[in-house]
Amino acid sequence: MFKRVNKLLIELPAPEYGDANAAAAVQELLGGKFGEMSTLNNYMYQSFNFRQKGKLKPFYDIVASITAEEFGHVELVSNTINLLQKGSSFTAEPDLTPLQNGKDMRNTYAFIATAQTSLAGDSMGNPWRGDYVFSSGNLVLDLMHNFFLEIGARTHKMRVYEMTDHPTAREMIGYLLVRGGVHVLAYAKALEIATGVDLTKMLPIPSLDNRVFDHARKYEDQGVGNVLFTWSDGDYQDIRAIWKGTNPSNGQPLVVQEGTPEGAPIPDLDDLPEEFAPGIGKDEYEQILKRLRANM
Amino acid sequence: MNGQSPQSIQFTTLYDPYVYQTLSTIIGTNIVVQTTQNSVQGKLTTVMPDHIVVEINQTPFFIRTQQIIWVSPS
Repeated sequence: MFKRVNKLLIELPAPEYGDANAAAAVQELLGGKFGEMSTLNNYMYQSFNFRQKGKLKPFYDIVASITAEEFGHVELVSNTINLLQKGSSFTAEPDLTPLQNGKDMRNTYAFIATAQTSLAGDSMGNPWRGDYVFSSGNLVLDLMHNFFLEIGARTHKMRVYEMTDHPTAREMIGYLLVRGGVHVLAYAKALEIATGVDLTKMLPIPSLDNRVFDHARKYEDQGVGNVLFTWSDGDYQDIRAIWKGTNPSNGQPLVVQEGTPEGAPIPDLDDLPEEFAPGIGKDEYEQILKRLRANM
Repeated sequence: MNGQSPQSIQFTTLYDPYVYQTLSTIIGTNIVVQTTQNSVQGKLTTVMPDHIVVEINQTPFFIRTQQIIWVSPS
């Protein structure tokens, strides 16, 4: 089962300006084939479907615990998309065409369907699909798929980073490049233990270090790239049998930390009267308050 | 340059005198400015001959007058 914490993995900067087309590009990192919804659902179904969870516990533990982290990544990318859409329309009566700029933005769903928030789809508006999930049941094959998936995800993050310099997008990507690097290494190490083959020798793919990216360097300096969390109060401890030794990119020791990172506040969103969202005016809110306080 | 007499350089600027005049009368009010990129909604705090300043949550946005398409009170 899952327990939810009302925190975001990192604090996202929220400037007073957005970039709706940057939000559209960032959608690829959410609902694209190599987006966070894919990493989440791949590890989630693989953990549900895992055979011989006892005998192969360290492998089960690593796939199951990373699932929880990916849920947090979906949350982080969604919040980034929401903050990126700041100022994409103005507040006015419907006859003044307050959503007029939405016509020329790449993701019109954001204006018509989601009230300028995230969409469970990719940068072209295609819905995220269940057939992005690979769960063959063969441990080595699934781990190889995950290794490949994380490398693909890292590549896409680098490219979206090159598409936008908006501070919210870059902060999120900088952090996720580092965490994605952790997951690449985790699956490489799992494969080494499962097969004896050291895949870390071919890393990083693409061959540039995370430190090339200004917004990733801070997290590398903090050692964020050396830590694997259990995301649990007591379970998934056997990831220690895989996450051990040193990080080949910096020579520092790899650390397992029980639980979750500290986290940061969840951003709130302004009301958007031109989208009728949330659509609760002052009068309605007073009525709601009355009913909330009443003994019904 | 190279022994030749220096060319005289003339700087010109496009200037929308009536935009400047009209916006100067509504300083301090809330407006929407449609620019060539996007709309900006906030308080008009400054009007200069070639730019205006709109504040959103105390953050100033300096907008070139030449990039303004329309302005509407909000």
